[in-house]
Order: sequence, then C-alpha cells, then structure tokens
Amino acid sequence: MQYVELHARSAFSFLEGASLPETLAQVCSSLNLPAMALLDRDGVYGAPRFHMAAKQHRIKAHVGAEFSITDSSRLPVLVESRLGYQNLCRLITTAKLRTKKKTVATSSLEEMCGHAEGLICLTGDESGPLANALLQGGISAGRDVLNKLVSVFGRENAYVELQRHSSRVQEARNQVSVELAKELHLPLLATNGVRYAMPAERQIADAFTCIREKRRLDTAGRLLSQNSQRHVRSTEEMERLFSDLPEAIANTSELSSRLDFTLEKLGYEFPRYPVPDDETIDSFLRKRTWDGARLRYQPVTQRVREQLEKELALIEKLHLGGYFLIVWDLIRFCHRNGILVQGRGSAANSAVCYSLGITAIDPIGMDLLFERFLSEERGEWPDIDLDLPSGDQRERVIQYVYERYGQRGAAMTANVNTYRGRSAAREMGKVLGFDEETLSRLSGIVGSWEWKDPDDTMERQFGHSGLDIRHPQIALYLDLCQRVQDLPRHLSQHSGGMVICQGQLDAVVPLEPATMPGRVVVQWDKDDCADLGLIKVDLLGLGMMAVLKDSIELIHDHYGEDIDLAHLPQDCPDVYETIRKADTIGMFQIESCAQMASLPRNNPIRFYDLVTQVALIRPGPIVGKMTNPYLNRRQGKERVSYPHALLIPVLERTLGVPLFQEQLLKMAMICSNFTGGEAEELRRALGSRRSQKRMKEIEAKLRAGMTANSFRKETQDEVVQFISSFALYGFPESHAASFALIAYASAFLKVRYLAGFTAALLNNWPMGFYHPATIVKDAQRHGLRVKPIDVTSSDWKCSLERDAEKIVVRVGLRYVRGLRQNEADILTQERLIRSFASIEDLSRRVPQLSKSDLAMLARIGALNNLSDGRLHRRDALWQVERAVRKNGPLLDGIEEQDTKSPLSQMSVEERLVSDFYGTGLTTGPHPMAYRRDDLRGMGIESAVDMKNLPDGKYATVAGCVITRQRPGTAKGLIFMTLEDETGTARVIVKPDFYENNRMAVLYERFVQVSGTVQNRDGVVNLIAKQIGPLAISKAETSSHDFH
Amino acid sequence: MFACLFVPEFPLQASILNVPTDAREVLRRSPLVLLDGPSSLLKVTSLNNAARSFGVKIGMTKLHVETCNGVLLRKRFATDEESAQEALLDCAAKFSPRVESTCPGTVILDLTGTTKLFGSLERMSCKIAVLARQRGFHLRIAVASNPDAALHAAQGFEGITIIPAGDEANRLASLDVRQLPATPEVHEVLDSWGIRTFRSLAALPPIALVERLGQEGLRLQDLAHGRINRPLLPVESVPDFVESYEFDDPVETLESLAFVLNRLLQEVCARLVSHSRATNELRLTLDLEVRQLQKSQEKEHYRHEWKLPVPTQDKNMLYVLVRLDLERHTFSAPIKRLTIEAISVKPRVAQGNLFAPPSPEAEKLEITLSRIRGVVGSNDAEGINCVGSPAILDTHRPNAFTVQSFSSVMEPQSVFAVVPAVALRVFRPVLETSVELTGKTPHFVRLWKRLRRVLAASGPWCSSGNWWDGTVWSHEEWDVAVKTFEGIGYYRIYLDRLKQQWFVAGVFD
Repeated sequence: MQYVELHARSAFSFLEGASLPETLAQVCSSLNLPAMALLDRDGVYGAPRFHMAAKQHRIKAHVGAEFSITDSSRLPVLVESRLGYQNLCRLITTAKLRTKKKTVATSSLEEMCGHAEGLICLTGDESGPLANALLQGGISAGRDVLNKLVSVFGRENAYVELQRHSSRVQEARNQVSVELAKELHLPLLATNGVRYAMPAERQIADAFTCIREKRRLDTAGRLLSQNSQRHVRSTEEMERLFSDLPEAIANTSELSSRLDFTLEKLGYEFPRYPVPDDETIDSFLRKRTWDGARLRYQPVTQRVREQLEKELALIEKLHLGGYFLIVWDLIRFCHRNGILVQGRGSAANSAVCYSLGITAIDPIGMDLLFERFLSEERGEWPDIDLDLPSGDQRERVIQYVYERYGQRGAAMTANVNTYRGRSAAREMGKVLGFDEETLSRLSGIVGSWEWKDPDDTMERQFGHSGLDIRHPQIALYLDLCQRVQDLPRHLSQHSGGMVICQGQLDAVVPLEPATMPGRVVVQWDKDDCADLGLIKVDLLGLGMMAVLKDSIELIHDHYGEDIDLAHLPQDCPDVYETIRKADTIGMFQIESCAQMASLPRNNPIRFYDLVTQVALIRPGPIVGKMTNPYLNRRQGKERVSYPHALLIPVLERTLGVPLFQEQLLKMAMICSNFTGGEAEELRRALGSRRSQKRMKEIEAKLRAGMTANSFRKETQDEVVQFISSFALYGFPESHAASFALIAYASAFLKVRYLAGFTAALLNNWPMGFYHPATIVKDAQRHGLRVKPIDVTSSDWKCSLERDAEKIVVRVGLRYVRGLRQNEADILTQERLIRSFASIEDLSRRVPQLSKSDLAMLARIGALNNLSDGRLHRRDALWQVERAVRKNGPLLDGIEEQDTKSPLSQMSVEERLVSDFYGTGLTTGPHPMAYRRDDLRGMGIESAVDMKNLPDGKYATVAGCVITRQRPGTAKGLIFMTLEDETGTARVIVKPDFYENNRMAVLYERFVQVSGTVQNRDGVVNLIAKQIGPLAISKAETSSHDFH
Repeated sequence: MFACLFVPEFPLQASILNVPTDAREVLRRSPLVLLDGPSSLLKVTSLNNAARSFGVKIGMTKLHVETCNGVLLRKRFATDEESAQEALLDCAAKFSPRVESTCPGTVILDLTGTTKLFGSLERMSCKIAVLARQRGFHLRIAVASNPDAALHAAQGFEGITIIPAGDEANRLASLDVRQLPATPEVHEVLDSWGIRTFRSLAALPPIALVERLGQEGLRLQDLAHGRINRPLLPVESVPDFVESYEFDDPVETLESLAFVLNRLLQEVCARLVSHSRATNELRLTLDLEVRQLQKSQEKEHYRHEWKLPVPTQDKNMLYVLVRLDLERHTFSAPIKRLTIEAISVKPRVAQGNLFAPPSPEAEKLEITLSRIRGVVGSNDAEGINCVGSPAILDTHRPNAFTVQSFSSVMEPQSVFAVVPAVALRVFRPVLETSVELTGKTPHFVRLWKRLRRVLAASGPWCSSGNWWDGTVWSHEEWDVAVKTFEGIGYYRIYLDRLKQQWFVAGVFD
C-alpha cells in the first residue's frame, strides 16, 4: 500500500506555508512518495515550480488549491482533468476579480455548481467546511455540508479527509467524520495537511503566523501550532497512524491514480491573428515581412533574402506566425497613435522582426546570431521586449492589449517578492518582539550601499552593530533571518511582461486584480510562464523613449525638420567626437560616471563600439574582470589572446574578452558540449538569480564537460569565472545593440538639436542620472540659452522660443514647487484670452492659484514681467501678500495707490536660494561662478583646468556635489562628481578615507577636495586626501546619490 | 523694570544640571548633544558650541551624529527640564516675589522696588548671575522697562544687558526677527520679504503692513519697537501633601503610632480637600532608631506605598489601609519619625459604570484585599500573586494559568470555548512518576507509590512550544484508566520529552 500526500501547502500560500515547492518535492522524493498534491491558498502560485521540481525528482505533481468559501472555511480541491483545471482557474479568477486587493476572495458552493466537473473535493482540516460545520452546528450540520459537497461535486468526487496530529479535538472530529462517511457512503482519505517539509520548519511556520496576525511569538498564544507534526510523512508513518483505518491510506494512491492532469497538459495556445479569408497566418506574415524588407533593405540582397527565408521557414514550422503578427499589430497601433516603440532583447537578432518594424537593429548588417532569438533545437519560445515611452503612452498600449484580447484574455506577469536581508531582519525582529530602536538598528546594519564587503556575512554585520551572536535570542534571530531568505513574501506586478492567450487566459492560470486600476495579473512570474511555455510580450517603459519622441516633435515644430529615428545619419563624426570626450550628460546609458570614465579609453568611432560600450559597464563584465582587459586591448596596450583556440570564432569580435550572453552560451556549447537546451537553462539560471544552488549544479556540469574535452584546470577556471560572473548581470548582444541605438539617437539629438533635446529631457524628468540643475548647466555650457520661468511666457512644460534667431529653452511651470498642472493650465488659458496686467489681475482671474502658489511664483521671479517688467522679486512678494488678502466686497477691487514696495531687492545669494528652493535649478550663473576669483586665490582649480593637470600632481578642486556612488563592483570606493561653472570633476574616495570623513563625503552640498590627480588615457580623477565643506551658498542643490 | 533670565540651550544645560560640578564643567567644554524623539529616530534637539564645531546641527539623526567621532550623546528627559525650571524659578525667587515662568529656560522677574534691597540694576543682575552659576546655570540676563523687551534682549544678547526706558527700539534694532512670537507662516512671509531684523520690521509702513499681515503684523512691529507693556503672570506656589512627625521618644507600640498617623492623615486629607485634589498613591516612611552596632544588618527605614484604584480624599479609608499594613509588620527597632506623603491627582468626578456588574466599592475592595494579604501573604513561593482571580493563559502549554488582580471594572476576556464533558482535577505541583511502556503505549504507571496496570490508554496527545525562549516545553500526554483500591481511576499522565521524565498531571472526577 503506497501513501500519497494529497493536501500540502507551500510557502506560496503566503505566510501560511513554510517550505518552497522545490523542498517539498525533494523531501517527497527522499521518502519515496510517488506523488504529492500542492494545494496553495486561493491559487496555483507554486504549481509551476512544484511541477518542474517534481519532474526533476521523478514524482508526480498533482494540482489543486484551497478555496476560501463564504462560510469562512477553506475547501481543498484537487484537479482531475484539464477541464477541472480550467474550472479551478476560472473559479479563482472570478472570486479574485470581484474582490478588493488585500481582502480574502471567497466563492460560494452554489457558485461552484456549474464549474465542478473535473474537480475532486476533500473535506479539509480544522479550517475545512466539515470542521467548521461540526463546530457551529454539530453532527447534523456536518451531515448537511457533506450532502452539499456531494451535490456539487458528485458522490465519487467527495472524500472525507482525516488528519492525525496528536490532538484530542482533531481526533474527536475524526471519529464523527468516520461515522458520517459510513452513513453517507463516502470514501475516507488520510492526509497530513502538510505545511512544511520537515518538522524543524515549524518555527518558520510559527513566525509566519505572527507576521500574518501582526503578533509577537510571546503574545500569539494558541494562534501558533500546537506541535511540529504537519511535515511530509512517509508511507510507514502514515500507515502506523492510520492502522485502524487502512482504507484511508489505500484511497490516497487510488485517488492519485485518478488525477490525470499535470501542468504538462496546460493547453496554452497563443492567440491566432485574424487574417483575410484568402490568406493563412503564415502567408500573411510572409507578405508583411517582404513588404517591410523592401522598405528596410534597399536593396534586398541575396543574403537578406536567404536569412528571411530561413527565419520564415522556422517560424512556420514552430507555428509562431500568430505571435509575430500580434507583436506587429502592437507596433502598428503605436505607429498609428504616434507612440514611439522599439523592440529590444533577443528579438533584435531577427531579420523578420527588423522587416516588420519591431526592431530597429539590422541583424544582418550587425552579423547577429538568429539562434539566440529562436532555435528549433532548444524548443524555446521567442521573447520580444518592446520599449515604449514611459507614462501614459505605455499605459495606452497595455490597455489596447486588454481591449483587444479581453480582460480575461491578457494579463501582466507577476513578480514574486521574496524575503531578503533587510525585510527578513525587520520582520523576524518584530516577531521576536524587539523594540523599535533595536529593529531599526538591526535592519540598518544590513548594508545600505550597493557595495558589500566580501566577508560581509550576517554574523559579521551583527557583530559590528554590537549584538552578541552568542546570546540565545540573537542567535535564534540570526537563524530565523537566514532560514526565511528567498521564501515568498507577496506577489506584485511585473514591470511590463504581458501574457496573451487564445480563448481565455483565465483557463490557463488564475488572474488577480493588480494594485493599478484596470490591470490584471497572472499568478505566475515570468520564469514560471516561460517554464510552462506561455509566450509573453514585455511592454517596458523607457524614459528616454519619451524624450526622443518629445524631441522629434519639438524639432519638427521649431526647427522645421523631420527626424526619422530609423534613418538617422550613421557614424556622424561630431557625435562620436562628443561621446569620445565623455561629454555625455543626458545621453542614454552612457552618461553615468563609470561610463564617462571608460569612454575615452574605449574611444568609440563606429556604432559597434557603442554596442560594446553599453555592455561593458555592467556588473557582469566588471566582476568578471573583463572590462579592463577589453579596454587595454582596445588601446593596444595588451595582446589579444583567447582562453582556448576553439573559442576564437566566438570571441574575435570582442578582442578575446566575452562581453555578451550569446558568447557565453557558445562557450558553454563549445567547451562543455552543452546542447542548445542546456545552454538555454544556463542562460536562465544566470539571468533569473533564482537560486545559488542551481548555479552550483550548472558549474559542476560545465566543469565535467570541460574535463571531458581535456581543458586544463586554469582554462576551466577562467571559463567558469567568465560564465558565473554574468550571474550578476550581463547583456545579450542584440539587447546592447538596441540600447546602443537609443544611446546614439540621444547623442545625435543632443549634439545637433540641443534646445529640443534639453527641453524634452527636462519635461520627462525624473529619469536618467542627473538632476535638472545639472542638465541645465550642461546645456548652458554648450551654448544654449535657458530662460527662467515667467508667467507671461512659460507653459506647463518646458518650451522652445526664438530669441535673436536662436532657439532657446523656456523653463516650464512644472518646475514650480507645489504648483499643480490644473492651475498652470488655467493660467495659460487665461493668458491666451488677455495678458495679465498686474499681480492683482492674475490673482483675480486665476483664483485657483493659492497664496503659496503666488508667493512661490513671486519668489522665483516668475512675476517680474508683470507691470511691464518693472518689478523685482520682493516687489512681487509685497504685492502678492496684499492681493491674496481679501478685503470684503466693499473694498474689493480697489488697487493699492502706492504699489512701490519698501522692500529691498534680493541679493544674488537670496536669488540663488530662491531659485533652488522654488524650482530645484537656476538659469542664472552657477553658484561657484560668483566666487571664482576667491577660489582662484585659494589655489582651487576649476573642473575644466583639472582635466589638463598631469598625473600625480597634488591639486584642489571644489564644487557642488551632484552624484555620489558606491558601486557594488568597486571594492568600497566612492565616486563623487563635483560641478562648477566650467564642467564636472570626478573625485575618488577610498574606504579608509571615507571612514574618517563621512560627514563631508555624505552630507555637504559644496566641498573642496585636495588630492592626487590621476590622469590616464584622458580620464582624469582626483584621489581624495583632504575634504572639507565650502561656504559657497545656502542654495538647496541636489545630489543624485546611490548609497 | 523687569529682568529676564534666559538659559541658552536649556534642554542641554538641564540634562547635566545634576552632574557633579567638576564633571559638569568638563561636559560643557566637550562636544555634547542632546537627542530626543522616538527611540527608532532620535534627533539632535540641543547642542553646545563644541559640538557645533564638529559639524553637528539641530535635527541631525543619531546615526549621522555617530559618524562624528568624539561627540558625546545624551538623551533628553522631561523630568530633567522640569526640575531645572524649578531650580531657575527658585533662583529668581531670591530676588523678587513676582516671577513669571515664561517658558522652559526663561523666567521674568518684576524688579519694582527691589533696588533698595539688592542695589543698582547692574549689581542685582550680577548677583543673579553669580547665584545662577552656583546652581549650575550659564545664563543671559536683560533688564528693560517691559517684560517682552527684556525677554528679547536676553534671548538676543550675551551676558548682562540693561536697557534704559525709552531706548528699547534703538537697542533691540539689531535683533533677529525670528525671535518674535509669530506663526511659521508669518515668519515665512517676513523672511521672503528680506525682513531679518527688528529694525527692518519696525521701519515698514504700518498701514501697508496691516493690509498684508493684519493686526498680527502691527503687534509684531510694536514688539520690534519694544513698546508693548503686558502684565506679568507670576507663578503661584504649589502646596505639598507631606506630613511628618518626629517622636520625642521613639515609640514601640502600634497605638502610639496609630494616634499620630491618624492626625497626620487628617491634615493631609484636609489639605487635599481644600485644594480640590485627591490622592491615588500614598507613601509611608518610618525612620527606625537602629543602634550603631546593628546598622550593617538592619535597615534604617521602612517604606511602603499604596497605589489606589481610584483617587480618594477619605481619611478613614487611608487610615485603615496603613494600619492593616502596620499590624502585619514587626520592626526590629523603635520608630523615631513617621512621614506620610500623598501624591495629588484630580478627584474622581465620574460615576461608576451603570452597566458594570455589581461589585464592591473600589475603596472597600482595596481594604478587603489588604486584609486577605495580611492572612495569606502577597506572593506564593513561585512569586505568583496570591490574591486575585485565576485566569487561563492563551497558550497550548497544558495547565497554564495566572492570577490576576481583582478589578471593579470588568474587562472583556476571550472565552475559551472548550467545555470539557468530565472534570479534571489538576495536581499542583504535578506528581513525578515512572511508567513502563509496551511499544510506545503506557502499560504500568506508578501511582501513590504502587505500580498499577493500565487498563486503557488514549494518546499520545502532543504539544510543544515556546521554542524561542528559555521556557521551551514538549509534552506527550496520555489519558489512562488504572485499577485502584476504590475501583477504576482515570488519570492524565505525561512525558516531559525534554527531561525524559513522566508526571501525573491530574485525575478525572
């Protein structure tokens, strides 16, 4: 007699289960159980991971769920057939979609009546409907519930469940249940109501109970479990427990054999694209592709023709034509509605995608690998990511998908948020009843900088914070923190992944409402979707796309030129010259300090150099120590070499240094004889950060393959190092190419149309690396005139004006602190009717402007041009106070006789302070410019002069701190960027220097730094030896800090 | 004329006032900051100049300050400031009977007619400064013709400032306008106008100012001119409710003590009544005449306090409470002094709850409980309260209970729904026993020193818990039927799995 556990919860019951599905499958396998059913609360959240793990352990993964029903109990339901699974998904979806977020979605038994086919119900444990009825109304109520379950699910599909956890109350209930089962001729079924894989995990379950109930362990009382018996039990144990009822054990294997459904038979089908009657999907796709190719490739060469034929044949063979047409349809929607869109990711490897307008990268011209996108051998689904302008336009595209495929035909993929260092530290501290101060200290010690010491273990962090880890309470806390790592905490929405299904998606996976109105989300994350063969389209919001679109419109309106991003002039020398000088503030992907520091060394002269540049400054290549060798080889300072002769064709393009994911896949295939499928598994393990364990397994496999191919130990280490460092993050080449295209476009627009680009950049902020104040100063240094906010000229957004034949930028009202768009729009509409005669007039005609709005406008000088420009800021402030104080109807409208204010004009410093306070930027001179003479007297170099200082010279620079960074890959170094009126200077702060000068490094707005100049290959840094505050201005300048 | 005593960084000075003089001076010279706020987010609320030179600013978080090596941190306590304010008032009261406690760290004295006693205004100011220094304060003093002018001058100028009448506007002109008592909104407006000093505010056209800031603007301008004369609000002395009696000859009998006790309580209660106060806490102190040789072994004082459930002015009730306590005690030495202190609170004005279940009056209940404690003691050997009502604890631990104090107010309690069909008489403490097993089931149990055969056993019923602290337990319970002399007896036994020891928990009736 073989026992099968048919009622188990995983940690995907969110705080009601304590083990991952993988652990359950593993324990199940080690106890020789042939199958297990995972019944998570109101969903099948953990089912894909359980399914995959079960497949690995060669056990059968049954699917089911615990339904919250209207009598406050939980009804366990097992899926027998595909129809049953579809019914289960639909029932959960219906309940979830009608329930508000964070409240329990319940279904009634009546509602289940029409959707019970293919489902088998159990009577549940202490939270099940039978126990609930027995408690409320005794045996007769229990009998009624059983009859009801029989009427809904059928006599052969209702099992009376028995569990034995050494509890008197439970045993009393079991006795009644057995009697009722006999009376109603229902089969008995033994389960252990598993909530964790092993007894020791009961502690995690108790801790989760406390989090769920917002209690502490010492006040949770009987909410906690009575003992540790809800773990996975072996057949022998269960037989011993149910020795008096052997049929309850026998029924488990019998029922298991009835459960035919697994997630292999999901029945997912990508929607078919509607085509004209005389066309098939494939013929229609073929025509659209050739139409596009003729436009894109002029002329269509033999090579292009062959590549397209090859791709189309494969797409046809894999029945993916519909998918391409659906993405093409999305692209057309974007074009129709003037929404800028560009495909990225591996789609850029496909000439079909390029021809259909999905991507802007010509894979043939770039010589990209189509196999990275789609390969018959790997059996992998294609993954097309679309970059869209962030904000409303992206939302329009998402809503179009919902509209087109129905609320239940499309949904966003989920993100499973798991317990990580800080969240685990905080919540476990609460559970153990630590006070607020200790909690803050504990969660605070989990490092806040991106950089972490290699030995920065939790034990060490605790020790540093003065906590004695030998103390039993602290040791327990540390233990709990470590054990909850990676357990699911809650589900959130993925930033852009959408799943679409032929027919109804809610028959494939349950759907839930997302926090954002109008959105629904599936219960699986993107990896789960990929595991089960669901094809997704990523609709990602990219701020720079919105900037490009706005720039193009502004250029059209003010320069009278039309820009087509697909046909930008390539390899413009002035654009590359600017990039080479690292003059890249505001440019996509290449504006960060690290990018700027490597640009002169990489010395890009053509598009492919930008592609490598984008991929170069990533954690993957940096940690893998690939960045410096590449740059040295690029400069000819290092000989180009290869780990193994076999790898030359793979690494030739990047001078023997792997920079892209594709190269790593090929390396794995060549060195370790990985098949395409294994290489794909490797890629996903690297990209998903799912499990260290999975990585270790892959490493062992890699080494075994290389040993078989007689690779030397050193070469093996080198290859493994290359590959594993990409776990932190590496780009596929095609993705880098797509980004490089946007980077080039942004650079082109900035160099050629500075005014339009700057205005668009300011209008789409927050985005990018720098604060608007820095963007404005950078534009001014490049000769652009930026005019201040003025109620007589400014719109809500920053706009372009003509001034003496030059195009200048007028800062928009959106930068006025506290002013809302609605009020600003009314103001601009009133201005169109008639210009404002005075502040009194403005206040009267736009009563929506509050006193603080008017005062703020006056303070930043936006009202100076009222009254024919005779006002200064204090005059305006003086008048505003009177204008907003209502005199009553008798005196209302009487203008003040003497409008001249007794107040003196603001000083330069006061104007600076007001500008930064009211708008976050100044259009006047840089604060440092006012003190340049003094600074020169103090021996302080300007940023531009510093660039000419020789290596090793001791020098002092000063400026406003605009960025502080401590990258995870920089061994604790801090990079500061100082800005003055001439440009920016980079300062490097070493860890020991930082420890002694924390205040100045972290909190001062203006600093002077002395140290040694490091001038190598045109990259100039100052190694800080002394740092101190500099009394320049009290203006509240901002720094973009990534601590 | 009025003098204002102003203590700069008062919270900081108050926090070190009780430190010995030498150490206090060392602290003053060291970089010192005072932190306040919720423990999770302590921020700097006050600091000295030495700390400022380290770059510390008001409002910085503790975390930030800790990055400045060498800065000393102290936590703010309201009680420190209360006692410091008392000390400041006390110091001022030496020079004038009319003293206003303007705000923490600031007092204003009416100096009218005091020059004859203490000399000129300058001399008097010096004397005040010296006395204050002796008490641990470093303060600023200003004398002016009206309280507000004196206040602003003290806040704004170091040392001692004497402003002759009529010269206020001129002398105050350079002061920072942020000293004026205005709303943050008005200060924001003044700041945006560039009005930084009293002089620039005083110079604004009054009508235009009223049009913009209303009468508030005019008041502020008058203050800037130093021409508002408001009445002083002197503090009144607060009575204490302490009575003490020293016996000519130390007493040894309760009767002599009770007589004096009754009289002292009568006086304390009469004073409470006359000030419309009551007490909810009474403290008794007896000073004992312990002989020199006994001093090391015997205590020299006996202290006891009663926390009452409701405030009272009832002398008789208090008398009975104290007397009952004294009756319970014997003292090793005669009593030489008796002190009674009542902590005053507002009297109870509300009636009892109409819907509360009938219960004895709170005062009577307290006396009854005191009598019971006199008989049974306060706590048992395990430290559990002996007087109160038992309550089952919300835990899976078998037989867990506590004894709660009686309360005249019924609090809602969670009802544990399980009503057992049979009664279990629990043994406290449990009886240690031994058990012989067949397989895992008890076969023989030792009861009343004899091994008895188990006729039937139900179990095991397992429970475990408190794995997170030192009170972890793990029990395996069995309900067994055994044959005894009186017939079949039903017992609950359990195995403590951590100690590997069997116990008899109780018998079923």
